[in-house]
Amino acid sequence: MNPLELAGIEKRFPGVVALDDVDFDVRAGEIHALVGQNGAGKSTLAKVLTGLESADAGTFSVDGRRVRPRSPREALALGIGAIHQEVDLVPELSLAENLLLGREPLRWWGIDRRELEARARRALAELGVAVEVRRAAKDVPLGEQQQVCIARALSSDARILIYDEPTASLGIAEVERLFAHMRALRGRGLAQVFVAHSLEQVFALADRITVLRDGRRVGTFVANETNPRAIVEAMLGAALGAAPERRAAPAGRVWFEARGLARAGVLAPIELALAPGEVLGVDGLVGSGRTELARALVGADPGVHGERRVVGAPVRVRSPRDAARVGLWLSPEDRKVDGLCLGLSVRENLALGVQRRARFAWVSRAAQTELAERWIRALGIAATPEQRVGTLSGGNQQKVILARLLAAEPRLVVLDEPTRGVDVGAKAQLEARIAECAERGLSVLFISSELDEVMRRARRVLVLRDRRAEVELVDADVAALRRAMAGGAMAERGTAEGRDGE
Amino acid sequence: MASERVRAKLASFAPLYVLIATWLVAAHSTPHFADLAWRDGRLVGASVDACVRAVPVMLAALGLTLVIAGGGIDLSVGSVLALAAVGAARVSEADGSAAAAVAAALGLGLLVGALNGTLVVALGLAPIVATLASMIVVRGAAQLAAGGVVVPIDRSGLVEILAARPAGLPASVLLVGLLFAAFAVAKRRFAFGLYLEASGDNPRAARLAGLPVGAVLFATYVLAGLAAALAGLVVASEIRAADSASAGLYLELDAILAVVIGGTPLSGGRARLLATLVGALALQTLATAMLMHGLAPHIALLVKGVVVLVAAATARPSWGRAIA
Ligand SMILES: Nc1ncnc2c1ncn2[C@@H]1O[C@H](COP(=O)(O)OP(=O)(O)OP(=O)(O)O)[C@@H](O)[C@H]1O
Ligand SMILES: [Mg+2]
Repeated sequence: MNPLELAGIEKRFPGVVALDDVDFDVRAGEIHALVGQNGAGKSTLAKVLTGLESADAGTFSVDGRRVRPRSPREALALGIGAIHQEVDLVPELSLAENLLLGREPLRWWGIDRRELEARARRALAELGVAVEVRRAAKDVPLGEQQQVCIARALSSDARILIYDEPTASLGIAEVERLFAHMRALRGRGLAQVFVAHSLEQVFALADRITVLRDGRRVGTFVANETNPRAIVEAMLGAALGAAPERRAAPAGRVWFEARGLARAGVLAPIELALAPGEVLGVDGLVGSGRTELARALVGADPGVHGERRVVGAPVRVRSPRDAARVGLWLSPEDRKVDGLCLGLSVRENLALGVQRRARFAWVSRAAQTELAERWIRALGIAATPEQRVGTLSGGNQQKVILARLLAAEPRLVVLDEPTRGVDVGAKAQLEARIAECAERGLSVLFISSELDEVMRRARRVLVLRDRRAEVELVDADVAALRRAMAGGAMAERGTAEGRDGE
Repeated sequence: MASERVRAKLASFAPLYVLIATWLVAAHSTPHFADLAWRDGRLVGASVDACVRAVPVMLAALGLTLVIAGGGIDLSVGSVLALAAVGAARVSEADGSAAAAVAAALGLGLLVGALNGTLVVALGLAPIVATLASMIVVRGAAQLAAGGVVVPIDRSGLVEILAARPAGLPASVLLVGLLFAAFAVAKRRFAFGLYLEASGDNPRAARLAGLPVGAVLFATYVLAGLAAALAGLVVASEIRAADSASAGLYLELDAILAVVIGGTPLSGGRARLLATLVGALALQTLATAMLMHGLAPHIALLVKGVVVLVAAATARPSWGRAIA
């Protein structure tokens, strides 16, 4: 009798079967990975488990007892806790309040705030996170919000834990701490479900791996009896083509330059220069100022100083609108908050990109639909033009943002974690698209926590640390990049090729 | 599934079902309610009467639909109606020309709309606070301008224009049609609609996508001001006077109800103009029927409240769990 058993689970949405006759079980003391392409049904399964969605058919039992949770609260009462793909904190509440929402320490006079904050701090410290727990959720970066979600689930008394892409906004160090924690919980006999796109992470952690494809279970594999290639083939239903190993050559004159770009208290002055077709990587640990740099470049926040030049001539960029005018676009880190109009359709979200070029003139409905269909095909987005973007799976939402950016025919795109939550097959597809545009002269500023991804794309990598430029590496390897991010920059200045010590 | 889509489509007509149901119940329970006749070149009957009476709310609610779609709210429309009416009456007293009266009313509507827009967009005040303040201030300004009396408006050509009945229909009803057409064209044939719905759905994302969010939201308040001023002209010419104390009183509430019954979400992101008109008509049909029926005012309030609740519930986009 396993802690968690599902049999014949089915879930339909208008137009798609998200889960089709899925059997799934987790043993005590096991980490069971759930993998599959974007839209395969992983998050839907996580939502069924926690009562956020109700299954149309199938049975569900906890410790051999048939159950049917209808809300996360009921699920938690059954011992099922979850970290969902999209950060689900109440923006106005403090981190401490969010962390212990519904479990506040009570005294006769009400909530014991001191105890509340102490408990929250302790829960976060276990993950090695030191953040001010009194800050409102909306005021802290996504990575820290995600840590709070994780701490919230881990500090509940759940015996069955579901992690839906928990590492998406975390840096390497945070991921390692989370994994150590998960291993410790495994030792204590908890049943854990781990959803991720990084097979490296899956193989580092999982005991068994279940692959979903188009809502169906393709198979369940024992981790140390299989290999990543077999899993990818099961996910895609075909072998994965080699990822395009093209590094755009930094060619010709500088197209875009930023001089002394800074924002008081957030970002120390930074110099940047990009040639047409060049891909510049930007990296750093969580909180190193990557997102701040991305936002400063397009004028997303007020109070940015410094100069931006296009072909040597200064341009004024005081808002994203100004930036768009010179062909400078941002794909923001937090797709739900900054990226998409979730209530609008795929077609409307894509139209926003081209509509700006057309000014106030009308882009006909037919042209919009054609545009949407073209990009849905080009990026393999699992959606129809009229589908509400909010109902797309996370990875597919990310593709919609990228499609909107590219549809706007930009000159320079700032991509802040553009492949977060995107599956391996689609990642190769997106990378190929970006490389294709770079070949046609698009400059790319590429921010990603996945170091090999950055290294594959960019020859030059700007490393940020403590909100300032630490060093610029040329043709470095992942190890050198790691060291630079951690602060060993002095030893790495210049090319890091061939060096190893330190 | 196809059936899901059909169900969604059918659900989007909810305000129409409310209107039809209200009308059928009224026709069944109220003698002569359904009667329609052609008399002296004009269509007459309780239904036509309801249409005419609904005009001020319909006009104001059209503007309000845009504001709400942008994620805002405008509580000042009733006061703007009064100010525009007084302005038109004062100018026609002095000058007498219809054009000057219309210009005065629209100018005042524009002014208050721009003021609301500035408070909300440039100063970042919460829309409900900003427009609540201007609701009070503008009502005061209207009473000040009226000098504590009911200003008559009989010298102007305005009354004749709006009293005309081209094609047997009251001119004011045609005015609603014109304003609706103008807004619908702006929404569906220009980028304005897309910009508005995107700004209302997620202003942060819309701004990062390079949209002029501030300008779009500012425009909605100006358009709402203009629409309320048109309503003021209609009210003033109907009663041939501008009563600064009672004109447009509580109009904002009926206008909000009309928008809600129409299914435009108060959280913004969608503008349902035609549905708003249907919602306003349903409200007025109910009111007219209850009046003809001779229902006591306190009973009428109860009935209205219940109908609004039922209508708002059916207009919800989904019957799923509200939170999740
Ligand atoms: N509320 C909804 N309405 C309509 N369709 C939905 C809804 N929620 C999910 N879907 C659809 O169900 C399918 C499965 O979605 P799900 O979120 O489970 O995918 P996923 O495997 O988690 O993908 P990702 O890796 O991108 O996060 C997708 O095609 C998605 O568009
Ligand atoms: Mg998912």
